[in-house]
Amino acid sequence: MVKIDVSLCVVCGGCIDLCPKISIKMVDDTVVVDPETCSGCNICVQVCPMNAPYVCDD
Amino acid sequence: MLSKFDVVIVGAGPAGLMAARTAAGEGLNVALLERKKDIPQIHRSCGGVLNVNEPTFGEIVRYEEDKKLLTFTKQGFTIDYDGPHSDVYGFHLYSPGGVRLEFGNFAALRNDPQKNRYGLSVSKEKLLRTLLEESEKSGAHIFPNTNVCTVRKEATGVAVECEDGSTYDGTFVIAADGINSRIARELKLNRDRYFFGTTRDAAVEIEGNACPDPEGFLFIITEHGIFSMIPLYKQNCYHIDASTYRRDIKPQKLLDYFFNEDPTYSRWFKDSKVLPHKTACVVNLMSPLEKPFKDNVLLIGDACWRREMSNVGSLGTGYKAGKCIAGALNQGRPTEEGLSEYFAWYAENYFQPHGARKQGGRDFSEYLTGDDIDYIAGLPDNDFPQTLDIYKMVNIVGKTYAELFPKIYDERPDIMDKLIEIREDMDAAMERKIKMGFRNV
Repeated sequence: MVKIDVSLCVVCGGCIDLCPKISIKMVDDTVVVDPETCSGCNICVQVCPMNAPYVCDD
Repeated sequence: MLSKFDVVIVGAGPAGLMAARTAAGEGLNVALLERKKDIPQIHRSCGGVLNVNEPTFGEIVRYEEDKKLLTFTKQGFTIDYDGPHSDVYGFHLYSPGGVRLEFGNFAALRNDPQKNRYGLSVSKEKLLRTLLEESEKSGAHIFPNTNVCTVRKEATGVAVECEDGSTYDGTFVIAADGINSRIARELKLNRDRYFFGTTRDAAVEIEGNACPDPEGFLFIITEHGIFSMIPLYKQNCYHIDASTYRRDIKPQKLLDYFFNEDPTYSRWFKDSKVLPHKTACVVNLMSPLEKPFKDNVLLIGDACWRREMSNVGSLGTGYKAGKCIAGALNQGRPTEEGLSEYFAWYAENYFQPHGARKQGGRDFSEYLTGDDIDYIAGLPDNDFPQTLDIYKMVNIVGKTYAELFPKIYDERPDIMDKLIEIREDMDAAMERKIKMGFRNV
């Protein structure tokens, strides 16, 4: 699955917009990935201008 | 389950807030849903410029400094703006070696800003805060921290479904959810749109720079990409943006290059201070919607457009949408036919003049060296008219260079060959861009 490095994320919302599974949302002005629905397609990783999303195993 | 609203507006940017203020001011029961918690906070790259004094999408906006009032003269509405501003006069295009095409002589124009400015750089945060407060005062119900998932057609309107399970029912819905509109996707409207690839931007704010005439919208073409620089509302501060459609390049890296390594332009920034506010954006480029409406959902602002609807277009479509939806409901016509005035206005001012244009944005550095671009930039000997209208600027550049081709052919047949290659490669280049994009259907 994917997690967001909040120290790099500027909350532009590009990954939220383009996630095909609607698995990313904004909560209290922080970008959050839902591990239940994330398919691991990595589109958010490729899209992000700031390098904030990263793949992790747990 | 909440009560039924006359209109549910999704997205509290300039378009959505203007629609909310207008519709609530007309006495409608309005819900405004926004995924941000702190609505006026800006996270997405925007120069914050309002086109003034020059026709933009059929509108002319004036700013009266003494009254602190922005007036949309054609539609006849005003917005209070008592925050700081700076004046913007036109476009300057810079080549890799520093040759400049001027759409406005800033040194002469800055003598009379009120009359000569074509852009007003404002605090977008301040502008949105004003619209938010006025919307609330007019009775709009604001729901921040609300992520919209989809819209569903109902017997008497539309249901907006949110990620937390809540539903908001509206007779109409206004989708003002921006350039990568989820509602456009959910309504399957993107399937019929041309796709031109995805650009990704990173932007910073800086204080101070050594550019000789910075009071404009500067496009700076380098061998490593295209950058833009725009004055911020804050004195001596600037918004600098790096943009790329290539998947293998991170825009943040481009910015670092521009500041620290570019042989021509890094000199401008050696004494600049980088401010903490960083923004970014991801833009899926699609052709505008000819009919920005489906199943009682009206799409406004960038949600129906390609990009560059600009703040004037967003505020203008927001106002018109609020008015026309109020008109439709007052006449008891809560249907597509009830909004015929909106569609005629949108066709006349937006779609007919600008909608069919293909998104260009070619990266000439794939074909031409920096020296080649410097030569080309140095060719025009006439003064270009002052403009801050990107459509007009692009048309003038195209027309000017079409006339210069015989001269280039004579003087530099090597460069002419490359220009012909650019033209012949047009479809293939578009294919490459599309392949590197993230189509969102």
